[in-house]
Amino acid sequence: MISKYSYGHTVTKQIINALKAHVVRSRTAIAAVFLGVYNESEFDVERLPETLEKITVFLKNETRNTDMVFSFAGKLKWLIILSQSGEREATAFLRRLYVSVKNNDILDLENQEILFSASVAEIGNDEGSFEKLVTEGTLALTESLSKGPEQIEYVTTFKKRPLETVKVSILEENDVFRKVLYRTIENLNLNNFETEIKEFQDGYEFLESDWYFSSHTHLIIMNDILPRQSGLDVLHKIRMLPNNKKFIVFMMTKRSSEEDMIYAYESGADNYFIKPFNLRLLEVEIKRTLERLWT
Amino acid sequence: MDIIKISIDTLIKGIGVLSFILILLSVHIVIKSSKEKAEAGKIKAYIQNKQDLWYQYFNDEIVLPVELIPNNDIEIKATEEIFLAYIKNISNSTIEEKIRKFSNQYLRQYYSGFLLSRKWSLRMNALYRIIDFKIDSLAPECKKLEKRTKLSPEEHFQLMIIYSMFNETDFIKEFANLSVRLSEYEYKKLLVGFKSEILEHLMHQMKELPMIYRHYFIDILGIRRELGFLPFLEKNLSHNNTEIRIRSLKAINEIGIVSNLDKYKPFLKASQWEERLMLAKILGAFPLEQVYTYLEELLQDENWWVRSQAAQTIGKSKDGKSRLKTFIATAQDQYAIDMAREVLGGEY
Amino acid sequence: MLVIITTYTGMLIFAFVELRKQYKLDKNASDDDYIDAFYYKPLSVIIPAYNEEVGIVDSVRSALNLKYPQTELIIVNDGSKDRTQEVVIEQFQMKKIPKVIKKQIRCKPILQVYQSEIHHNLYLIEKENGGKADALNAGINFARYPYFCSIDGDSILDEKSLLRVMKPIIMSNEEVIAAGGNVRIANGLDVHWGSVYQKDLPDRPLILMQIIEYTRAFMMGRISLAKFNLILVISGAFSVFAKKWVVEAGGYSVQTIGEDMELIVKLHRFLYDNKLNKRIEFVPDPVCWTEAPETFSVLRKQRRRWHQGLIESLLKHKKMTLNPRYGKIGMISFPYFWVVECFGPLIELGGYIYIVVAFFLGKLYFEFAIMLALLFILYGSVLSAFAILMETWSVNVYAGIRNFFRLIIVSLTEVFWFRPLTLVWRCEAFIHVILGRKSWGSMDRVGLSKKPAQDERSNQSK
Repeated sequence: MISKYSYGHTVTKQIINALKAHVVRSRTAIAAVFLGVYNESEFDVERLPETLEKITVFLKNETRNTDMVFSFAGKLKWLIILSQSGEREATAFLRRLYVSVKNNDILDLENQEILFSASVAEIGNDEGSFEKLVTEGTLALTESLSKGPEQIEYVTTFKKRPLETVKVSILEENDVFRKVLYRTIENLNLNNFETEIKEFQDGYEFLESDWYFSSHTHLIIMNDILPRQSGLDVLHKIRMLPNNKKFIVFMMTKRSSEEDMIYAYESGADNYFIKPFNLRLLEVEIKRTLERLWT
Repeated sequence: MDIIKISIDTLIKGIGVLSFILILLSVHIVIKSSKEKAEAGKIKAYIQNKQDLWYQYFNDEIVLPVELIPNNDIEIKATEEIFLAYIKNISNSTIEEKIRKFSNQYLRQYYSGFLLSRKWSLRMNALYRIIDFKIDSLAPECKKLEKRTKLSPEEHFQLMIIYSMFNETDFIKEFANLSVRLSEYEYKKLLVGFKSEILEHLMHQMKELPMIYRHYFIDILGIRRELGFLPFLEKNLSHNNTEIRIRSLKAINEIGIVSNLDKYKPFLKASQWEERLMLAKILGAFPLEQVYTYLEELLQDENWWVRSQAAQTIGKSKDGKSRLKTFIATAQDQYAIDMAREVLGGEY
Repeated sequence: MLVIITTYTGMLIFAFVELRKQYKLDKNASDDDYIDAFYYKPLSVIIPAYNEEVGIVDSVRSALNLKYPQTELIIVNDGSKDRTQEVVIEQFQMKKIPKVIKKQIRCKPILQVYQSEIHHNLYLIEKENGGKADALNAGINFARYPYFCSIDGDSILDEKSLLRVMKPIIMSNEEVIAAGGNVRIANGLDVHWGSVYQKDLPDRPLILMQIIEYTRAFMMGRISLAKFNLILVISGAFSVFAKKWVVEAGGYSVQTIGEDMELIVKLHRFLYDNKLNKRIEFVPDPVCWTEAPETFSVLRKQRRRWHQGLIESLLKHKKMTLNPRYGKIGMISFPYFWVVECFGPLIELGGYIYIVVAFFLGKLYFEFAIMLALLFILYGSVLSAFAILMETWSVNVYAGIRNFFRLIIVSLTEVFWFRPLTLVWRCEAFIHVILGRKSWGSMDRVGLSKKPAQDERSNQSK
């Protein structure tokens, strides 16, 4: 995307709404940075449009071309959208900006020093209107500006990521252990996910069900050897499906054969546990894998 | 014809008696099997009811509830099954400790009864469980068992495991000068569970061990990937016993750390093909340019397995495939060429 | 006659003692011990197949689900004329691979080797037709592990069978070089994708009778013979061998019909000739399920073939008979097999004929005939019933009281129809041996898997 500036309100709104929809689909947050000039009063009112233009060009140079810079008409204020960024990335971006504005001469503002302050809103869902974003963002910016130069205020209203449903399938023959796995996953404390768990006795039962057809992210925890259709059969079958990326496969085995392990990874397993294994290890692996889905 | 008459009489009587026994036994079996069926149902129901409580207890959510203490044999059997599912699938020292404590307290009586049984199968079952659940309070009883009854080799082996678990120092003394002959499987199974220090201890006693046990010992070093024993293994490469040399090569290959090529070069001319085979494997640890000449020689070895391994080693290395292609184009030895082709697979 | 009955009774009692020892032993406990053992011996499973399109997939599936640390599976397509090869290729996504095969035993040319894309350890060998023995030899040549197990293309292995059948080999420090498992009849089982579910009995008396026969052979023969290393038959449907020794003994014999039995005899002979302290064992609990003939004509062919195989194997190694050089095998096993197993049917059939003839020949012969008939009842029916009893007591495969009584009642009828019939068929084998006829022993398969079998049954239920 090419950075644009000085667009009308409606266009900005449309662009940002489109971005917000993308946030959910691609599981990547964006950050809205509201930037203002702390020492605005020191600037010549006559030459304000020219100054605005110069700083906007400067900001454009400082951002990546996937980011966008919008200016507020007639004010020394900007809205910068940083793609694939959260609060942390936005903060780092601002710190860089605060420093580089001081030793930059393209600005050429007759030795007039510019001191920024900003507010940051991380957007992690597609709820909340554009108007609300602008209102809360500018409010926080005002507060930030009132605190002093080079300040950052955070708006957390839009940060909350949507609760995503993850399907979990447990394929294990032993009834007791299957129940243990069920309870363990049920009790997992996941931040942005809720789990929908189903148990299966073997691969056949799983493949016969229509459970795995939906588009949900799907974690499969299964034994390598199962009656009827084994874990490898299941693995092969689901990896042949067109949308197989949604499957995360954890294999469990009693055989500690490296050859089998290598083969399972080659066939598309994401993790491999040799029994007996520590349930805590399984828990953190599940958490880590799911949390990594959000970048 | 009287003899025949008597025989017919006795035969009819005999058949009659046998039929009668048959009917009696049938009744016995019918009763027994229906009893077993009912028992199996009860065990299943008990597991269904209690597994959640056990889960909570094992995960520190609750203290041991009284209703988990089994009251009869059926409940013990069900508990046994739950424990086994945990032990065989999950490694967690807290859970293991909980099972150990619980078994020592509430299952001890049950198993010690089986240890006293005259039936071999029941004694075996008890021994298995003592090991699984780590019922150390029964160790003295196990010791007594040795004196009381004439034991089968299977029981002896289980006892060895029990001693190695619960009384390490005594066990090591006994193990070094073993009176019973253990099979390869048994010996290795024991060695695999030992601490490294014990292995070191054994290493110093190597010369006193029977030759066959020395072989197993070396194998286990490879299986356990014991880095610390690498110098020992390398020293063994010049041993005058062929089997020791081969197994040391194998163990070194398992460990996977090979540094000094000169140590292995002599095996190129080894008389035993197994040594050359292992060499072909080990050479895979070096950069191909450094060892290609040797591998090419092995690729034309008189032994099928050596050729096969050499081709595989080359094929796995970086640039190995192109080397093999060149080899196919230039070589004379048809056997070696076939082998190279196989490794190249569909690419050629 | 009395000698035979005493021998059998003795064997039955012996089997009882053996089984009692293991009664209630928790076998699963030790199984788990073995499965994680990385020093367990890797093993190649060879499945020879000739026109097995119906049963092959279930067989392979059951072999894929075996609980064993390291295996490879080799299907040998012995030039099948049906869709065996296509079915396997399609079901397991097989792709051609180049492979150099080390020729240790002579066999017919191998045309092509395939490997599965789903299971990396599953291979298919396509070769020219050469008979079952030849197919097995090809499989041995291809196998890369030190042990191999042969199962028929229509059989299904229990998931723990390999683990258990290998146990004596491992525990004996490889003194045991071959081990056979128990074979049971699969008809009537609910088999689904290679896994056995409901273990129920089929309806047909002919199959029930065969179930009884298998049980009896197991209780009265195998257990005791194996105990004393006297065994001459371990079932070809399921047995494990140390490859090294089989190769040294020359592999399966292509000339004989009963190649499985012949191999055992050959191995025994090889061991004695080379003065090796090795053994062959029979293990009672590893189970292999196999499909039994459902019609008289197929059963007749099968029995004739078996007996022909027995005669040929014994003839081929007749030098061993009563030869002290071959120890117990020469002095006990061979005479036993010659008299009881080989010529037994001839003698017995003579007895049956005598009874019939005696009815027409007056009183003098009549009494002797009654005695003979009673002996037959004792030997056939009563002992069979006891064998069933023991089976139910020790393993209880076919659960349910109804099944138990059905088996007992059918077993009591054995002398009146099944026994004479099989005797005639076995005697026919003598004629075939003299005429020198051979065949692969093809059999019309119904297939074990649920759907086709069920349709079959509902069509034929009376």
